Amino acid sequence: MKRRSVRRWLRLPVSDTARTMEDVDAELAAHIEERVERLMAEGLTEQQARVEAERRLGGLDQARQRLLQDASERDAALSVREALRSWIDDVRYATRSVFRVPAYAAVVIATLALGIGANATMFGVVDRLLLSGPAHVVEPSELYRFYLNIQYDENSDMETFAPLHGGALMAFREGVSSMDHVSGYTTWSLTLGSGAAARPLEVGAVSASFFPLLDVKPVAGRFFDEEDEQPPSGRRVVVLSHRMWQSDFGGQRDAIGETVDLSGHSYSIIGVAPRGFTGVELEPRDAWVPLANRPGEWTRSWSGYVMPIVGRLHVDASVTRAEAEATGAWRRGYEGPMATVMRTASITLDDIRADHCVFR
Amino acid sequence: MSRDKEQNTILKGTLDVLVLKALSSATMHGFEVTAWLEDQAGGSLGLDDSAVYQALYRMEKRGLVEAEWGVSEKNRKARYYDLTRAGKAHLVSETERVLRYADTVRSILSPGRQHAGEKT
Repeated sequence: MKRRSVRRWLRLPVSDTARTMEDVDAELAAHIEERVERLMAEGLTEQQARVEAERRLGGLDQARQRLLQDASERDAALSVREALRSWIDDVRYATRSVFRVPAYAAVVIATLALGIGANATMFGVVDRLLLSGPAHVVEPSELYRFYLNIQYDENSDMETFAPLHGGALMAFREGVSSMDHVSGYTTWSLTLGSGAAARPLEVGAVSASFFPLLDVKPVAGRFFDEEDEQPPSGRRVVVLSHRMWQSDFGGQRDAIGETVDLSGHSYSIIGVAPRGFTGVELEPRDAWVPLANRPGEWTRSWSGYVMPIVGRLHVDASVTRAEAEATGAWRRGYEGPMATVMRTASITLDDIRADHCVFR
Repeated sequence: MSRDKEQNTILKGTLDVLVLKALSSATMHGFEVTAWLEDQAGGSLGLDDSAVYQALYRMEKRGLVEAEWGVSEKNRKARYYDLTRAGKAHLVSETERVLRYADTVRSILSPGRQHAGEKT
């Protein structure tokens, strides 16, 4: 009894073989009565009529069996249909009630829309930040950022820094065999053109290994290679963002090879990045140039300029081993100030999605 | 018995449409449908009465007919059947199909007739 009432409450089909059997018996009985009446009107006695009635049915028991089978299937289908209909009626009633007062309906719809929209946006942001990683970056889970951990003296806490010196970049490249394409990237503000038509650009100045690191493919032309970052200042070549390619060059392929004026230097356009690509960080970029183009000792110094450094961990290497190699490389290679303290520092690695560097 | 069984299989496909036809003239209970079919056929159909009920139950499951318990004019409890909208549509399409089939069979089996391009 209790089980049936739970099913009723959930509006699930309540199959009841006993009730079906009752229905079938009642219908058969009614049929036999009518048949008997007819046959008696034709002259048979009641007993004869009953026998004949059952015979015409094809035998009472056999008839019952066959009909019970079909009736059970019928009742099952009917109760499902009924449950569905009552659900639909409920929905219809609810909808009608809500729309009877249009102002109320408007508030309901607006609230739902805001809630759904906010949720969708939030999910999109979280997905991009923490799950999928930056656009067009292949296997972001293999990409790790280098962190310096240092305790200046026994009274101070352990401090952690992400942007590191160019010297560190060199040291890690050579000393960390568990990682590939160790690269640094910076944000550089440049001016496109000159005079009244000049426009500011947010440009990424990056290692030549930056694009191979992220395993992204150009939409047109090519990305940087090692020759583009040869000292003293590398080649003046630029990779356009998809947006800039569309807006300034109409998405034409013959933009490749053209030159642009960036802060007084003549740059040759060598390639175009895919739509939506922003590098490791999520802030949009107009274009990318080699890190070597930046004045100052960006790529070799152990003092002054710092930048985020990222690498891709080998498939069969462990983070622990890479961290040990990086720490060793840092300590052996460090040539900057406060060497005694700095050489006790350790390097750790963390997923690029765990932290986002917003800095110049 | 075996002859009845043969006729049983031939008529099973068409029994449904015959039952629908009966119900198209009036709402009936099971026995009334059986009686109507017998009267139309001028005697026995060569089927067990229970076949009619099977047809009714199957069509009720498919949603072609709907049923309700009521009281007959003899003051007896009876289950009354009626066509649904789907049932009416099914009757129309099935009637067409069955009649076309019957015509085809008749024209093939009729002796001494040219079969190409001749119309009745």
